[in-house]
Amino acid sequence: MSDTTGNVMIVDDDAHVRIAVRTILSDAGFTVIAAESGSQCIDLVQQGFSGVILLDIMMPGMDGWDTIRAILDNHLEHGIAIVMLTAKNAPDTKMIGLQEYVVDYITKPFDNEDLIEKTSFIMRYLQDQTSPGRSLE
Amino acid sequence: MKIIIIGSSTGGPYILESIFNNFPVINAVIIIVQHLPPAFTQTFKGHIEAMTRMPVSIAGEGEVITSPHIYIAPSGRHLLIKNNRTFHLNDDERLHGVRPAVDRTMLSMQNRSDDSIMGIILTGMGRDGADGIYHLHKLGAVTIAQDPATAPIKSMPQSAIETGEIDFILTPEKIRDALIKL
Repeated sequence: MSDTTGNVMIVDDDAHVRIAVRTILSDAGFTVIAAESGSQCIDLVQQGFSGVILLDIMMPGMDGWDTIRAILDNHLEHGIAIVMLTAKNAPDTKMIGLQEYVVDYITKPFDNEDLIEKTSFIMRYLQDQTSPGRSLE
Repeated sequence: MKIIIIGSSTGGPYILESIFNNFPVINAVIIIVQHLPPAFTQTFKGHIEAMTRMPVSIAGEGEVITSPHIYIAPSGRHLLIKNNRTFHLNDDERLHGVRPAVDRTMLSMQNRSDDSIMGIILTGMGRDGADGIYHLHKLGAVTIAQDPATAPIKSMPQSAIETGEIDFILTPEKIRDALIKL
C-alpha cells in the first residue's frame, strides 16, 4: 500500500489548481501547503520546508525553471524533490541543465489517482534517504 | 556477454521501478544511466535492489563488469565502458546539460563479436541518448525506445526514434518482457 504522509508544496499561480491539489492530497493524507509564485516557494524552502514540491512551469515573474535555478543557486535542494505539474506538454530549452533535478512530470489536467500515486512514489525517495534499505521478503 | 544499456531521465524512476518489479535473474549485464538529483541515486539503487535478486550496485571507477548484474551510473559523473568490460568514470563537461549523459556511456561501447548489445531509451527531457542509440545500432545492437505515448516526457524517446535507428517502440510492460526473454 502506498504511504501518503509527508509534506507537499503546490506552487501555482492559478488558485483553482492550488485548491484542487491541496484538497486531493490533503484528503489522501499528505500535509499540503501552497505557494502562488516561485519567489514564495523559495521563501518557504528557506524557512525550512522539506518534502515534495509540485511546481508549475508557466508563472508570471519567476517561472518554474527560474525557481529551480534559485533553489540550486542558494543550495536549498537538500530534503526536497521537484515534480513539474504543468499544462505545458513540451519542456523548453530553459530546462537544459535542470533535468537531473526534476524527478517526474505530471501534465494538467491530471488524474486524481495519478497525482496521489506519483506524489507518494516521490515521497518514498525522500523518506528512504533517512531509512535503512529495504530487503526482499 | 549480453549488455543492456538503459538511458532515462525525468519520470524514469517510476517507469524503471515498474519494469524491474519482481524482475527475475537474467544472464545479462544491465547498465542504467538515470538522470537524478545526487541525493537520490543511492535510494534509487536501494529500490531496484529490493525488487530483484540480481545483484545491484553503483558502478565504480575501474570496476570490471560481471554478469548477471545491474549497474547504476553514479550521479555527477560520466560513465564510460572501456573495451565493453571496465567502467571508467570522468568529470568531463556536462553533455546536454547532464552528467552522467546517456550518450557518453553508449558512445563508449565498441564492436565485439562476443557481445550482444541492447540499447533502450526511456522517458526524459531533451535529446540525450539519441546519438548513443544511433551508435549502438550501427554496432549491431537491438535498439528500443519507450513508446512516447507512455512517457511522462516524450522528447528523449522521440529524439531516439527520429534517428531512424530504433528497432522497437514499446510500452514499459513490453520492454520488461523483452528484457526477460533476452
